[in-house]
Amino acid sequence: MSDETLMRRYAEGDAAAFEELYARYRKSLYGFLVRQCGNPQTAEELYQEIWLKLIRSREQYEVRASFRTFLFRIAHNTLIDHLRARGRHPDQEALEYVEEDVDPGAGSSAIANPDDDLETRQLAEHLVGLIGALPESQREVFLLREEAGMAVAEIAEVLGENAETVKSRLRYAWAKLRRGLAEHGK
Amino acid sequence: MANDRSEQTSDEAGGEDLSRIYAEVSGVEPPAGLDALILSAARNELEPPAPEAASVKPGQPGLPRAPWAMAALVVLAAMLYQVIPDQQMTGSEPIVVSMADRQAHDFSDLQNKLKETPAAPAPDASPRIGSVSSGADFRQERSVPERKQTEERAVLEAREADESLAPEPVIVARSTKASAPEKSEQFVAEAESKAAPIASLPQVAMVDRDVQQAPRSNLQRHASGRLLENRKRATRTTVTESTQAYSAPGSLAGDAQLAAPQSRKDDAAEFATLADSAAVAGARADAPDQLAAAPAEVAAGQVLIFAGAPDSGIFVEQAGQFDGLGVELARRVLNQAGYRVEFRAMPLNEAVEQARSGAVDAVIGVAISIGADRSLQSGSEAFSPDGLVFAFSELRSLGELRAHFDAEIARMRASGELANLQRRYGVHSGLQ
Repeated sequence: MSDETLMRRYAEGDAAAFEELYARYRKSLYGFLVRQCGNPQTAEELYQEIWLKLIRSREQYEVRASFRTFLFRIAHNTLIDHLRARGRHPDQEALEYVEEDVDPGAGSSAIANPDDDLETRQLAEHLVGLIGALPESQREVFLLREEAGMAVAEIAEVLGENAETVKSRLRYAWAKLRRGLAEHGK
Repeated sequence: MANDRSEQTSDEAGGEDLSRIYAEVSGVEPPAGLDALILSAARNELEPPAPEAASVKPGQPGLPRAPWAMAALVVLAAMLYQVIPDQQMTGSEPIVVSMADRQAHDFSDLQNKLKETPAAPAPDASPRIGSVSSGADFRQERSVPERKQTEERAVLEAREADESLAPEPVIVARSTKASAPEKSEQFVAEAESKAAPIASLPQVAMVDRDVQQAPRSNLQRHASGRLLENRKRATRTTVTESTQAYSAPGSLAGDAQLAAPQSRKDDAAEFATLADSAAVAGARADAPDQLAAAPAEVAAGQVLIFAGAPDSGIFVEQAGQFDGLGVELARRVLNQAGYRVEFRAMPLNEAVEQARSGAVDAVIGVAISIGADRSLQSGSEAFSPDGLVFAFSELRSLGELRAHFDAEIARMRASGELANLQRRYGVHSGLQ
């Protein structure tokens, strides 16, 4: 049964439909928030807030876009509200430098074939730190792609951006992450 | 859940290596207690309102409900007043009862409260939802057992009697935010601290600020980050050389020093505006001597060159096409003022150097001040917590153009166009 059908059935009073829908998205939404906030406690608050917003807006839900877009758009807006409410944390700002010369493929050879599982795991843990250091907008598109499994067009829909902007952010994110991983491997 | 990345086009492919590594750490699961909490809330939302109280037998007149509701409100209000410290009562905005406050994710308590609490109508689009049933926690922690039963019955009766009178159990009305008078004092203090840095700013036109809310835009952070990086590089480049050509011809210190005391006569909001805008751009507009001293007047119809470093949302270059919030604003203002504009993408250091030499007329998306050691520094702290800045080369007189910028930006702000543009480009600044 499609996500959209489940949501419609929940709006009509089928609690089991919500449980199924929740099971499908709990990991991706939570993972997105944890990486985006970098703070599990904040992520938990936002996670709860997002689902409650969804629950309360069930009767307004219309199948214009996919349910996933609907859910992550709520998440995006909730994150923005959260950031506005608390202001920008100073220690994030020094990390917002955008390199001038971006080669999305830079460093890819160094991370293409990690030798073993342990090395892959170590790279992954380092990658988490690098993701946290990305500018917010780049981190968001990267996470929507990786955690929510979205293509560029869907990310653009969630963010209300054009696809070219999303691609550009994605390329910057990739380039920085690859460079960071390559430096880590030296 | 379908994965639409399988539908990706060739120009968006390329992150597979990173995806493979990221897969090692993806799939973080929420705590089980949180799952239960949300699923309970979803079920409760669907449940019909609770039946009439069993204590009232059929055929007997029921107890009057309105007094019960009022009594419940009074009891709860008195409890909250006793419980919440004075300094937290100065505001009125609801805030989240943080889950972090609850040690070790003690969700079992919350779930018990959910079970105890009958299907209550959910709060509407409320600002923030607490950790569900924080009101119940207050009852448990602050009252004696026999009173607790009575009060809970009263609350239940109140809900049934009149939803509009029923207290919302999930929101605790308190705020840690400063009250209005405190904010005013903060603004004055901030502005006083800004007065000295303002004196050292180069000529800039600035748009998009909201000092009262004080969040900093993506742009500001980008600018700040880039310039911090520039400062690091300055040790091995020429960026830290004399900024005479780039700074205002003549000191702005007088203007800035005049601006601060003048603004103290106004309210805090006006002061903030003065400090972050008029004291920068406006003060120069009122200084014809300075503008007259500029060497080359730019006439309408001439081509102006605006440079910027590639930056998501602010200055984007794609196959020779330029886009972004800074680009869009520059286009609108310059075209309306009768100028033509040409954009050039280059590294920020180069853009700054070219602005110094006059090869370009302005740099998009930077905030620059001149430090005591004459090094370039991020100007973000100097005058605006939330601003979009165009730094103009001082080698050409752009006084009239700056006035156009200020006027057009003020108009766009008032009409909401500016906020729309910010949303469009993902440069959020807390304007709304």
